[in-house]
Amino acid sequence: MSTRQPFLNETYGGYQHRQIPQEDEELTHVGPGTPGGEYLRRYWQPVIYSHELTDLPVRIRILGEDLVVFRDLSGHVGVMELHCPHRGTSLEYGLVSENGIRCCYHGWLFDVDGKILDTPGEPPDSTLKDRLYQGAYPAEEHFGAVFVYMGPRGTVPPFPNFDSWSRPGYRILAGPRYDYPCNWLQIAENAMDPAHTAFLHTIVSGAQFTSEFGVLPKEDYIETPLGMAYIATRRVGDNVWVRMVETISPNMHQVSPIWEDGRNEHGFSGSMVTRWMVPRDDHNTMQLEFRHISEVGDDIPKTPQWWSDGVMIPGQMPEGASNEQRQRQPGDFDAQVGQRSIARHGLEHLATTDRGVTLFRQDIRRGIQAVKEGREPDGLLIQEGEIIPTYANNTVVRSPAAPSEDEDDILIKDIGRKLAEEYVNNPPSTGR
Amino acid sequence: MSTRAPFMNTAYSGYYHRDVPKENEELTHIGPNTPCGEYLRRFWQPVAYSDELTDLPKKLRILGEDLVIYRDFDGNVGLLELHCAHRGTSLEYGLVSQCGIRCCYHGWLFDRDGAILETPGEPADSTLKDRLFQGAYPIQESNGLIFAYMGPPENRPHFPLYDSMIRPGYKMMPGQSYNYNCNWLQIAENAMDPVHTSFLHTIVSGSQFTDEFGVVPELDYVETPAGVAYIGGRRVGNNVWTRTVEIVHPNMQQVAPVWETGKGVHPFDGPMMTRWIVPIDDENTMLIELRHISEEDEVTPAWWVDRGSMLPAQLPISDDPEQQQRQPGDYEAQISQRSIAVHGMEHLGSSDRGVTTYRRQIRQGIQAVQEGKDPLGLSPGSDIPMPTFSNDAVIEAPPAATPEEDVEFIKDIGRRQFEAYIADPPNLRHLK
Repeated sequence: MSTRQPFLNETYGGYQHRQIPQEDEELTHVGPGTPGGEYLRRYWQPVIYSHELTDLPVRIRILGEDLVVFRDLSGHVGVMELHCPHRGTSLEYGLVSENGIRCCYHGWLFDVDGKILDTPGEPPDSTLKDRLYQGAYPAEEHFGAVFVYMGPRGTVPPFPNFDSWSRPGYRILAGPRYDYPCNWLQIAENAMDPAHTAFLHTIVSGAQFTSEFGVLPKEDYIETPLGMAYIATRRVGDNVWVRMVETISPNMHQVSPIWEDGRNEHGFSGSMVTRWMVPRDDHNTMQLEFRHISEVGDDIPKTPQWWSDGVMIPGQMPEGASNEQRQRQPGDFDAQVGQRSIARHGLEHLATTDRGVTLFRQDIRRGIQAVKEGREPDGLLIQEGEIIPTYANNTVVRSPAAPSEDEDDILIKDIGRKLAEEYVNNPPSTGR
Repeated sequence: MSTRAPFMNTAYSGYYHRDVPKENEELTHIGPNTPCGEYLRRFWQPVAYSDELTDLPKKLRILGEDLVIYRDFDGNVGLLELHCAHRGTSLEYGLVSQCGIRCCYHGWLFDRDGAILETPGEPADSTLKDRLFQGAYPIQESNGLIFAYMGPPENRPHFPLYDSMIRPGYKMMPGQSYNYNCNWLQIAENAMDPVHTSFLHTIVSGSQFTDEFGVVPELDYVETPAGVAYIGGRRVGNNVWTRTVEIVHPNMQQVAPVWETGKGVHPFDGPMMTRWIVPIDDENTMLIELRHISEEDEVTPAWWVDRGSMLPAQLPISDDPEQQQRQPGDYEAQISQRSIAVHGMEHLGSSDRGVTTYRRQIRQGIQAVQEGKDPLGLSPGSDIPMPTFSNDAVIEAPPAATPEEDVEFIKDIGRRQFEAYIADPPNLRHLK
């Protein structure tokens, strides 16, 4: 745990900030052997989109480890340590082969599981290749991406089968990748911070989403079996719009459609996107996203064209904007990267609207603690093939305003809470 | 000594590389007072080509020390510590003078041996300049190269004379210098690794040398009076081609001509070049070369006589990372062994015997210096030629009855030739 900064209670107090606390290492460090890193390694992590694999190997960095990923000519995907076990040359210069990858320097050939198939310079009677392995990780392809399990053997969980990934009438589209030069946690916890959508995305930078996002919602939070969700409830005329966004521990979240305006009544909409915040290392993070694209229309607002075209979510990345433009119209990227390379919790002053962030950090800390103590962290206790309910959605119900504003605030918050509890108790994917 | 990474003996074992060993500091760190740094400082080291010195001084970094080199108007070359002894200003901004170099800031004038000739701002009766010296190193110019001796003054060795450089019919020509952003040892030991020439230079990247290099040679490694050599024996029709490449302690190499095809019979022909692998600092290295050019027509190919063209595959084929991945050469293979190759993560096989022999010799040299003894390879006298052995030789020798017997036959030819070279060094025969 980081130590705290003194609570400044005087004007012109900059000088008093002498000892800057360090980051919370437990939650933010991800390298091999770190508590946070060991926790994240217990889950399948997406590392690259399938379409990025060509005839050349690709060098990647995940959880502080340098790796190479490739698809061999038989179609198998391999993810292994970057440096050849022979003399350490990078396999990014390797030759992708019929089976596995061959180092460019002396031609050692590695299968996708790390087995050494050939050591051409060694004598024919050498048994080295039968005894030694290159460090490899199991990889699976799902929904247009390569997922890797980087944890200990014996605890490989089944690949999770989320209900949102097999919704009738929807297909999954691998989206663009977003890179952030900062720690993963501050990217991840942004999803549990509904207040920022009203402020950053609407008031500061003009309506990056619909203008209805500009109203500060009534906020509530609910625990789910795999993580947590925020419940943001807003009045839109005679309607009450309930929006839920969820995190699925440790580093995945689902966002409900941002093209919602709350004007038309509809039931549980499901999510628009599933995203992973994958740490490259302590100071770099990539976000991979899987878009949910509706193929048929019903009462739920259809996926807009820009979303199925692969266009980025507004407000995410600075994409070519000048420094001045970014200062004038900052988005998530600027706000989050600006929290320092690794945000210092000991320098923060969390307030009421940060309850989602606090709860999310507690979730993560619980998971880390479980792994440290040799227990299974939440979210792994699933059976092969079991469908896992998820909860991100927009729901719009008709409920005319209460007589006074105060009463109405209580009314709409209550509607949001009850609806969320109903969804958690009777998941829409199984309840129907 | 670095500790070892575990010997991985199962598939999908990436997770088990938890404690990654560090580099072997004894062999790789070269700053002042490091074991290897003190060893390398006992030898004359080339630091620049003579024709690099213009009317401007030149900033250099050698063995982790920042230096300035210049030629004054009297024609004398000085090699001094970069920062002025007065207030630290860099002498790269100094004024080259009739005798010595003058600092740009307050005009102190330094002679090439470090004596302070003038301190213009000081009172006329100041004796500071008679008592203080700028740190300087002795230099020697030879064959268009400037060599420096950076070791303890009382141990300054004779300037070496190698027999390959006084071969009748050959002249020495300065070549190119190459910079590598990695440790010196992995660049140096590449020369004792003949297997890579068949694989990297021929199979991976197309024939960067002659096609005949694509056959993995029968290999032998031999210790010479001042280093180590490999003998690569290949069958070419009715001929046996033996190629000898050597390292002379501690960081000089001689390479046999890469244009050899083995098709024409000829005796010992000497090297195509002498080169030194000079550490800039622990993570940067300079290769500087002297080309051996035959005075007879059509012996040395025109591209090698052209100083502007370089040995194939030394530097990246292009700035484009994709092209580097498609056609890696020595540069990519060696740089990517990590910034300082980690021996504790390697798995050396029997084809790496040249590398292990060389590392052992370097360690012996380091230990000799640590124990106050002279390391192997110091010059016996500046007019006493030291024998060297790099060459290609091709003899007619029809194949033995079976392939297995032929392998032994080829090896035996190489061994017997080498014994004859040691007994009567071919480069010295003309002096008898």
